Amino acid sequence: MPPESGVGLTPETAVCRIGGGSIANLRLKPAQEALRPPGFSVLLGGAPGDAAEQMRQAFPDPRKFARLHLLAETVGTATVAAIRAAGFDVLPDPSTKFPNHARIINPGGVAGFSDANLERLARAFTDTPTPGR
Amino acid sequence: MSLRHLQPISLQDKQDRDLGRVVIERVEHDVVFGRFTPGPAYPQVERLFAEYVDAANDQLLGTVAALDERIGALGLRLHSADGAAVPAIYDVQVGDGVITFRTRPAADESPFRDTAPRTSVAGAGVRPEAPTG
Repeated sequence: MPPESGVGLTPETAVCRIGGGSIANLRLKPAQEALRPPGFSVLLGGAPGDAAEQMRQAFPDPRKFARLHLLAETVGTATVAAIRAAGFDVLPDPSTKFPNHARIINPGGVAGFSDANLERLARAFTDTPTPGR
Repeated sequence: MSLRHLQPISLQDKQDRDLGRVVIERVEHDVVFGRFTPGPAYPQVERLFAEYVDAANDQLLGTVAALDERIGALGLRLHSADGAAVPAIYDVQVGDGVITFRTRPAADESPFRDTAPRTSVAGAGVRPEAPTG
């Protein structure tokens, strides 16, 4: 299944977070807090393995991007509906390299990414091992 | 023609600045991997590539998109010392002494005679940005 562009985002649209859906991997970094609105990157559509492979192909050197390639061995998957039910939202943010890029945001901004809220969000994700080939 | 036969080659920008020396090591799918030795002008652009690596490893995909545009605007190209024709390149990523890039083969010739078989991966078919310079 090809990645979705964000157009036609439906409640059933798959939302993939490279590195999995743990609270630690969902917590905002300073650069993500500075975004307007604040949020972290996810990929829309496809299976967990597709998202991991898309990332590996976009950043192919396993040495420069060692941290990312390590993260890509696990992908957390949720749906738009489950993320909204947890009090967050999905904002499509397509780029040339990642037409299916989006950000998970919270109506409360940075404050919305509290540990209590992130616990709810983490429960929306299911982690899948996605080892490289 | 194989890119490996074009060595030595250098990386230049649209201002003809010598950014470094490239030694091609392998080609996987449409990605060329090589060793990169910085040239005299590389310090002027090094930060862009370093920020790119950091942003990718942190999954700051919006930042990656912005840096893709800035790096594309450099108008990077290969230059063969013996004047041989070289393919246009794009999606150049540099760091840790490694360079990767993608090429646009001429209409009647593929530079990928040593290319590994293409895998079928959702998302992999999305062609990254066109060269911007």
